[in-house]
Parts: sequence; C-alpha cells; structure tokens
Amino acid sequence: MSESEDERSESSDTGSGDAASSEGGRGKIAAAAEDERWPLASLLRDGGRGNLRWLGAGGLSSVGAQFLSNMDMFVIGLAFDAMFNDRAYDLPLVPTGWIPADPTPQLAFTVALLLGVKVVDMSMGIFAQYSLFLFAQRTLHRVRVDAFDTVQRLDMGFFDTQQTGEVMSVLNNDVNSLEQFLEIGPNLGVTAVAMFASSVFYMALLNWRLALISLAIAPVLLAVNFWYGMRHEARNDEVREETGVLNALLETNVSGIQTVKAFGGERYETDRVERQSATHRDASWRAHLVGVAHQPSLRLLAGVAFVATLFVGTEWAIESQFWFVPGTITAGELVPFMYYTQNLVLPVRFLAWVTGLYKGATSSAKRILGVQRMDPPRDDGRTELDDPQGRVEYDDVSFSYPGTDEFVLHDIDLAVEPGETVGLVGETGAGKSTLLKLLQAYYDPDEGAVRVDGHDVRDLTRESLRRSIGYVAQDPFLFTGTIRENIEYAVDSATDAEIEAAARDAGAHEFISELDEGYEAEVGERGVKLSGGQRQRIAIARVLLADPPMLVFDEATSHVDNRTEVLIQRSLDEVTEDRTTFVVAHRLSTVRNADRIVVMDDGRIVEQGAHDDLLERDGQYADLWKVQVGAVGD
Amino acid sequence: MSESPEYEVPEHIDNPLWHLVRRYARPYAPRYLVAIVGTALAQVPQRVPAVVVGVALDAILLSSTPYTLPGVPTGWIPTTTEGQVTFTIGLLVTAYGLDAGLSWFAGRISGTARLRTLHDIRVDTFDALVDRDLGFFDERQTGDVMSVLNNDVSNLNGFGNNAVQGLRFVMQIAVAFAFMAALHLRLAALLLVLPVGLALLGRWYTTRVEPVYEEVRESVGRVNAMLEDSIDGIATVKSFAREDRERDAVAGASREYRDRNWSVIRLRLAFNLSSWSVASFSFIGLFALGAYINLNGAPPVLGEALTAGTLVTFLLYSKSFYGPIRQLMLDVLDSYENALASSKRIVAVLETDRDADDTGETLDVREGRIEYDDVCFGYQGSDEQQLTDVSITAEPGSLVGIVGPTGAGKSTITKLLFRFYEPDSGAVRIDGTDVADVSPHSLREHLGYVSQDPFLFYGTIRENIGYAVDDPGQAEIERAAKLAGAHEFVSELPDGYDTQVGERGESLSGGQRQRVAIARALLREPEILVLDEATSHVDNETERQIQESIDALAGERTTLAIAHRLSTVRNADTIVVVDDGRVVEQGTHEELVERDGLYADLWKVQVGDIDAVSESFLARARGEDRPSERVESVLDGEVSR
Repeated sequence: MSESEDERSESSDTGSGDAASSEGGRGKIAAAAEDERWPLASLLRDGGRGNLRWLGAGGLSSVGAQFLSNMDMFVIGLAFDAMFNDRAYDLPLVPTGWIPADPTPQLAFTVALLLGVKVVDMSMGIFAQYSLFLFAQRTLHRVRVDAFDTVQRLDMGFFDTQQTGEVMSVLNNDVNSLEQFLEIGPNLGVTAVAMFASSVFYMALLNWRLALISLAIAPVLLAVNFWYGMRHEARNDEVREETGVLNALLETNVSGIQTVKAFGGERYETDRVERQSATHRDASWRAHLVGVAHQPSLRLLAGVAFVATLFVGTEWAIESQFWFVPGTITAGELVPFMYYTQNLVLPVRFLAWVTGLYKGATSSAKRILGVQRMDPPRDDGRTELDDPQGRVEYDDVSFSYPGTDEFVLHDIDLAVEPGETVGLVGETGAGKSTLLKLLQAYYDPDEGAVRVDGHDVRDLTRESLRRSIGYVAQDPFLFTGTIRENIEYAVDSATDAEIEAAARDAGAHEFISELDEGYEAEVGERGVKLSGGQRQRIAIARVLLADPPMLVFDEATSHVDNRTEVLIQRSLDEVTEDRTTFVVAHRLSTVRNADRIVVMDDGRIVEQGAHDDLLERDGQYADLWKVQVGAVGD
Repeated sequence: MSESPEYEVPEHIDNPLWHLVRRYARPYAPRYLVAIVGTALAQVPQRVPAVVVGVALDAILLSSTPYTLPGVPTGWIPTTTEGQVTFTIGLLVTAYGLDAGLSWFAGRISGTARLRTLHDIRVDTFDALVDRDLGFFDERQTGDVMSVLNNDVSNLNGFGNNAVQGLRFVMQIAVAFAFMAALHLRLAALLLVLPVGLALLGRWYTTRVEPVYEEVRESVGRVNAMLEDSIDGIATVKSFAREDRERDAVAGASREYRDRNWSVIRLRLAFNLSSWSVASFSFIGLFALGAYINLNGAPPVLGEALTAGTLVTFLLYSKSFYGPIRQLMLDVLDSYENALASSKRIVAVLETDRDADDTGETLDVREGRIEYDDVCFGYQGSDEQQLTDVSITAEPGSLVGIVGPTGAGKSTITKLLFRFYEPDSGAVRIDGTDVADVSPHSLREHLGYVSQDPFLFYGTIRENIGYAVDDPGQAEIERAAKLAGAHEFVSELPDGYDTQVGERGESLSGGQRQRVAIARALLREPEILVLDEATSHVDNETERQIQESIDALAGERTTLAIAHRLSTVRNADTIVVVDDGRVVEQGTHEELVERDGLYADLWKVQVGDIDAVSESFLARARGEDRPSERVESVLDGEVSR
C-alpha cells in the first residue's frame, strides 16, 4: 500500500465549478430523504438487493486476508528467535511435534508455512476484491437505472421547478461519486480496520504489556488526524467556493466574448480574472498549509510511539527492567513488534481517506434517495381514452402552480369542437401555455375540469391521453440519433412510406432527401447541423406520424424565420383541417387565419373571435395587432 | 465537441509541458530547487529506522556483532550497551524530527511555487484567449474553451502534486537501496528484482488497460449523453408517453458500461494478483535466502556473510516498495500523460498570434457617417462568400434598419463594422476613415453594441451598465438606464443597482436584460449604435417600450438596427433588405412595400397575409439548406443540439 493516498484530496482544485452553484437545487432534492439516518446504507440495501451476499463475503474474506497477510512478520520473528537466538520454536495453534528442532529444517518449515499462508492470503484477497467489485457494479447499474426511471416518470411540475441541470447532476455526478466510493470504499474501509486490528492482535500476542505502551499513542493519533481533517475540510470548502466564482467569471467571459470585444473590455476582464485567480490561489495556499503539516505531524507522532516502544522493548530485552517497570521480551519478538508499531499509521490515514469518501458518498446517496423517494404519478384506476374525437372543454377552470398561491388561470370556460383550430394569443405570462398543460394533464386544475370527449382528463390514463395529443414545442427537441429514428419516436415501428408521408405533410421531406444520408442522417451534437426551421419540421413530422386527433403548437414557429414560417403554415393547413388544433402564438400573424382566436390576459379569456371581428371590436387584440404591424403611436 | 478544431502547438515547441515549465517555473526557480532538494533529503531520515532496528538487533539484543552504522564513524558510537541504547534512541529521535521538519518545509516551499506558477499560467492563458479573434470562438463550443481554462490548468496542478510524489517515491527506493548496498551489496543487487519486476508489471498493465479503459470512457459518455438527452427532452418523452422506451435505452447503455467496466476489473485483478505475487514471493525468497546465508554461510556468488539484523533491515525495506512503485507506475505516469495533453492546448492558446495588434491610428468620429463600399467577405475556412458587393451608406444621425431572411448576412455586416473580421475586398469607412486602418480599441470605443441575446456579465447591474468604463458615477449610470427604459424596474429591485445578475445572479426577464444591455451601450455615449435583432426575443409590450427608447435616441446618433420583426424598423430612415449576402432593396417602409419585392413579401408574412405571398419567395425558402446558410446559421449559434 502507499504513503500518499490522502494527498489526492488536495488536488481536487478546480473543475467542479457548477458544484457550488447548483447546491441549492440539489439540496431541495436531498430534502426528500432528510429523515433518513443512514442514507448510504438504505441506498445500498435497496440497490444491492440480491447481491448483498457478495458484499458480506467480500468483506469477510478481506478481513481474513488482512490477518493472514500480517502474519508473516510474526512468524518470521519467532523463527528468528529459534534460529538465531537459541529459543524454542513455538507457534500458537501449531502442535509442537510438527516443528523441527534444527535451524535449517526450521528454516524450511518456516518458508513452507509462509508460502502456504501467502497462497491462502492472496486467494482470499483476490476473492474479496472480486466480490466487492461484483457487488459495486451490479448495484450501481441498478441504482442508475432505477433513479433515472423514477425521475423520468415524475410529473412535469417537477421539471418546471427543478432545473434540469440539477436533476442531471444527481443522475450523473452523484451516481458517479457513489461509484467512486463503491470501487474503493468498502475494501479500503475493511482493510483499514482489519489492518489495525490485526496489528494490535499480533502485538498483543507477542507482548501485551508492550502493546499497551505502543497503543497509548493511538488515541492521540486519531484525535490529531481528526483535527487536521476538520481543518482541511473547512479550508477546502473555501477553495471550492472560490473555484466556483472563478469558473463563473471565466465562463461568462468565454460565452460573452463578442460583447467583451465590442466594448474593448479585454484588459478589464484580464484584471478581474487575475484578481479572482489570486484570491483562489490564496485560498488554495491556506488549504495547502493544512495539508502540508498533516502528514509530517502524523509521522512525528508515530515516530514518538516507535521510539518509546523500541526504548522500553530494548531495556526489557537486556535488563528485564525499564525504570521501575519490569518486563521481558526476546529479540525475535521485538522485531515484528516494531514492524507492527509502524503499521499503525497507515490504517489511520486510510480511515481518514475512507471517511472523506464516505461523506461524499453519503450526501450523494441522500440526493439519489431523495430522487427515488419521489412519488411518480400513477395511472392506476384510470380509463383508456378510446377512439378520441377531439372535443375539448374547459369548464370553469382555475389553476395555480403547486407551491404558489397566485392563480395563473381564472374561471376559464372554453369549448372546442372536433376539427376546430384555435389561436391563443396574449402577453407572456397570460396563461396560454398553462392552459394547454392542463389539457395534457401535466397538472390538475384547482377548480373546474378539463374534458376530452366528455371525459375528465383526471379519469384518463396519461398515456392514452397524451398519445392522442400531438405537441410541438417552441424549441423542438430532437434526440440523438437519425432523422428516421426521431420521426419514428412516437410509434413502435413504421414503414419507410409512412415516415416519408409524415415528413411530406410536415414540409420536411424535401430538405431531408437533399441531405447526403437522407433519413439516415444523424442529428444532434455529432450529426448534421439543421436550422431551427428544419428541426421544427422534423418535430412536426414526428407528431404527425402518430396521427393524433388533437394538435398543440406551443409557439412552434416563433424561432423560425418568416419564410420558413409560411412554408410550415401552408403545409399544416391540410393536416390541421380535421384535427382539433391549438396554436399558441407570439406573432399574431401566425394565428390570423385560425377559426377562432382566444385573447388571454392575466389568466382570463378577455376576447375571442375571428381576426377581422376582433380588429373591429378595437379591444386588446387590436392593440396587439398595431404593435405587430409597427403602427405604434398611430 | 468532436467538430471543434484541434489546438495546434507551434512547430518550434517540442514538448509543450517542458515549454510551460521553463517559461513559468523559472521565476520561481530558487523555490523549486529548495523544494526538490528538501523533498529528496527528507527521504533519508525516513529510511533510517529500518537500518537502526537491524543494527540494534545485532549489536544490542543478540550481541552478535559490534555496533556499526553505514556512514557513521566508529569513534562516535559509544561502547557500552547503555550508551548504545541512548545513542540509538537519540538517532531515531533526530531522524523523525528531521523527517517531519524537512517534509513540512519542502512541502510549504513547493506549494507556494506551484500555486504561483499556476496562477501565472491561468492569467496569461486567459489574457491570450480574450485576444484571439472571434473566428476562434465561433469554431469552438464554450465548454471546450472553458475546459482549457479550468480542467487543463488543474491537470497541471495535479501533475505538480504527482511530480512531488514521484520524486519522493524514487528517492525512497534509491535511499533504501543505498543503505542496503552499504550493508550487503550483492544481496541488494539481487533484490533489485523486486522493484524492477513491479515496474515492468505496472508498465504491462497500463499498456493493456489503456485501450479497454478508453472503451469504458466511451460507454460512460454514452450513458451520460443518453441521460442528458432524455432529461433535456423530458417534455417530448412525456408528450409521446415513451417512458418505457427511455428506460430500456438507459438500461441498455448502463449494462454495456457495466460489462466494459468488468473487463477493466478483470485486468486489474490479474495485475493485483501478479504484483502481489512478485512482492510476496520476493519477500519470502529474501527471507529464505538471507536466513540460509546466516545459518550456513554464503554461496560464493553472494559474497560475504549476513547478520540477522541486516536481514531484518532488508525485510523491512522490501515490504515498503510495493505501494510507491505501484503508484509511480500508475498514477504518476498517468498524470504526466494528462498534463502533457493539457499543456498542448494551453500552449496552443498562449503561443499564437494575437488578434489585438492594437496599433493603427486613433479613430476620430466627427459626424458618424458609415459607408460600406463594395464589401465582399467570406468566413475563414468556408468557400462560400458570405457578403457580395455590399454598399450601404448611413447618414449621420440616421436610423438604418437591416432586414432579411435568416442567414442572409445581416449580422455579418455589423461584425465587419466592429472589425471582428476583415473584408476580403472593399472597405468599411466611418467618416471617411477605413476601419482597417484604426486600432480596434479606439474603433470600438465609438461603437455601442446590443446583441441579439443580451449578454450580462457576472456582477451587479451597476457593474454591467458601467462595463469597462473607469469609475462611472451613479448619475451617469442612472441617466443611461433612464434612456434605455431600465431605471424604473431596476429601482424596484430590492438591491437596486447592486442586484447581482449573470450566471449565478437574479434572473431578469428577457426585456429587462435587453434594457440593461442597451443602458450599457448608451453609457459610453457612442456616436454609433448597433442593435442586433435586439427585440426579437421579447414580447410585444416590451418591444414597444424598447422601440420607444430607440426612437427617442435616433437623431442623436447613427443607428444600425438588425431586425427580425419588420415592425421594429418600420420607422427607420432607410431599410436595407439583404438576401443571400447581397443588398437587394433599400428605401423607406412605404417605398419598399410599394415596390412589391422581397420586403413586400416579408411584410405580408409579418401581417399574416400568407396567401398573398409570392411563389418566388417560397421557392427560396424550400431550398433553405444551401451550404452558405448552413454556415451562417452555425456561426450565429443556431446550432442543432
């Protein structure tokens, strides 16, 4: 084993920039498991079910291996006494008859014994590692998949309030830090304890009175180690804090580089970075000071124990008396004794290391548990929506987001006939998108009911309801994969002809066939670059392939340029013909041709009617329209 | 990321890590020297106890040989047993004291040296980075550039730590062998088998495990990408009710990761078993051989006799090699490889031509007339010409609107005014002075810029408005904020102008951010104002407010406004219509509507009169994925995820 493991903790310098910033949100996630006293244990019990025997077997054989591995110096010491110090060769548990009387056969016997013990030791050691790794890998796989599955089934309210970055960081960083712990933690922890225990065991076996003297230092060693650990942690927190600030500063500079340059702010930024980097350097320096005194202090204390033990041991060996304390020890007993004394420091440091890992893993485990304890909504007892026609009714619906008491929808009454196209307009925050979220049952209304074909959506299975509604968002999300896979996403399988037909309806076929790889072109980070309009059309094709009776376009064309918008609108005229369609629009032009335009303000429907009617009424819609055509102040 | 261009190290630099060490460690050379010598020396007393125990065993406990220590004159050693015990104890106390003292001292010194060096590298790298031209940033993702500044610099830190470790390990082994050689040369030579064997095994393991490990990294990347994909697209997942499918996909990726991990674990177990075997069997062999020599005399090849105490010293040392060599071969070498790769990127950033040849005349703006004279331009590395024969004149104090479809080249036109890029032919002039002849700094002082996605820096609103201005007064800041229509909402914030914004601060709405950005541009009282689609992401009401402030500003300064929504520039003095890199129409709103060209079509879309749009207009839209547009849409950041 090594001399320096725990100095690694020092190098966790930069690179964890977002850790500090997202702590708040992750704290909220952890709160769900706040009452858990042993979060790591619970997580491992759940995630490791069926594999816990591997943990047990691994731990036990690790202990066994450690005791056997530490046995060699003990045997060698007694053999020394027999061969070089003319003592009787007496090994505990070994019948005296087995032990030869002459030095050279004694040597052969000892070597054979050492080899035999070593083979068993190594087999147990390898078995221990094998089982612990097996436990770790199987458990992690299950924890990862389970945590993800729970998260993705939570209702949208969770994702609206939690930043996805925070959720990701639980699924990703926390599971990874659990992995780091499981890879070394159990083995290291058991090894540390067994190493310490076996050293003490052999010391006591050799000479229990001298052992008491050596061990007198152990509490001091532990206390000092703990004290340094606390100080180190406090200083490292400061470093992490400064790292967070530094990274935030660097990041805004890199992503805002054009602004920096436009304002000629390069030197100004360098100065700021220099100042923050210096602050960071000074914090690191303070942390380093603690680290740099830590190891030498421990070695010095261990040295004190070593010297004291050697002093007393030597005096006992030659005088049978140290000051007024009588005692005896042979040379062959003192040598392994000294070795074991030296061996007491390493486990203490391993323990400190493993404690650090354990702390990190515990807070990760708390967050993972927090995620797993969340309650995904269930579809039990709900009915399937059969052969939906697309009649939608909002019956006196009022709604406030969970955790707030501000109503975002008030007394909404709206009945939409199958096949009707409804445009929803209004200021940001007027409640347009919320209205449609209720239709998809992402939230339940506080008062009133939303009905599809006469069924309250709360009585319908979410799956059947959502499958009957095609939803196109403002920023279309394409999954990593091919265009074909993306269009096919909604259904289990589709023929080429069906996919192509959907793409044609969405106005996407033309540009897809011009791509070198056509429908097999990869999209996403590593794939072809598509414009916003192209991605939007793929998203629309995806919706159309599922052939839902209801369509929802939530500002679907507001990030698309004018030309493309026209193109999309024209291709949609046909597909929206016989489907109930809701169009939320930022630009009024988008909904000008809708059967009905619903104007919302502050959670209420203030006007509804066709474009020309609303203009004539000269109300809120007419005002908005003036802004749209740039006639401000006219 | 995979599409980002490589970081090229200039050819005259052979080893970038060494280059960085020479350049940045040199100022702290004395510290490094002291640290190295101190660390090396500290390993000597650390190795003393094993020797002393052996000697004490022989001389005091077994009384088999006289008390001698390698390197210590016999005259210093007491002859009585009592004296020898005291001497031994004194020696050990000194050794432990020296070890602790030297380690602490060397650790301090090497800490200051390392942290200062890193600080210098970080600041210099940043300084070089901000001076790179915009093309450099266009080609790379933010995260990619960031990782040079944080991950790569902290890799160097890790290497610094590990280098100290490496030095300690090497010295520990060297000092142990020096002591052993002094005690029994031939046996020490034979024992070299142990460190050499372990080192070879370590080498074997690292070469075998690296490719497998590469696969593990790949599959963990796949797991993470898949998780991220599903969570980012959770609304889509739910709207199609495809949770089961996502679960299966994640489970599949996770299973693959587990299986690949398992192949690394198998290799690791094999390595552990073989290195334990080497260490354990050499130890037992050493014991067997040493005890045999002691009992029966040495065979001729092994030379002299061996005392029991020397054998103990050898045994204690041989127990101490396993950990250090293992770490040396695995961690230290690994961190060297990492640091080498990181230093490549750092040096590439540090050692390339900077964009800021901030020479050239100082720009003198008298009226603020802007002329584009037959400007042609193509982005570096793209064959497509982005702008062709663009000629525009903006009269002093006028408001010029630039409109056109996405990818037409609108933003590029204004970027040339800032000299972010140089035109391939033609010239951009301000009051008759070619911007290519003036220093970028003095040029940009006269230009106010509000970008499409108003970018606020990490800091307070006050700092953002007073950005890069020395010590702006409260009155000035408020005046700018009032002009931009920002004062009202800022004063309503609990912390007012001291509210933290940006990355980790208070979230402002799009319109509020926009107005802060406008105030920032106005504070410097630029003669020329450039608004890049400044209002396309805000709602109608906010747009109206901003538009009012812009209208109020017009007349005082020349303003170029790129507009997505035509309504924003309806009142402009001149509207320039750009399509496919060319200026196709110019005139006032009424003139252009009458002409019934591209602008008129765009206007019809704006007012929702879709059926009246001409066929030729749509024909162009269908062909929208022409390469030139793709390039600009990439550069504009409209990158597909």
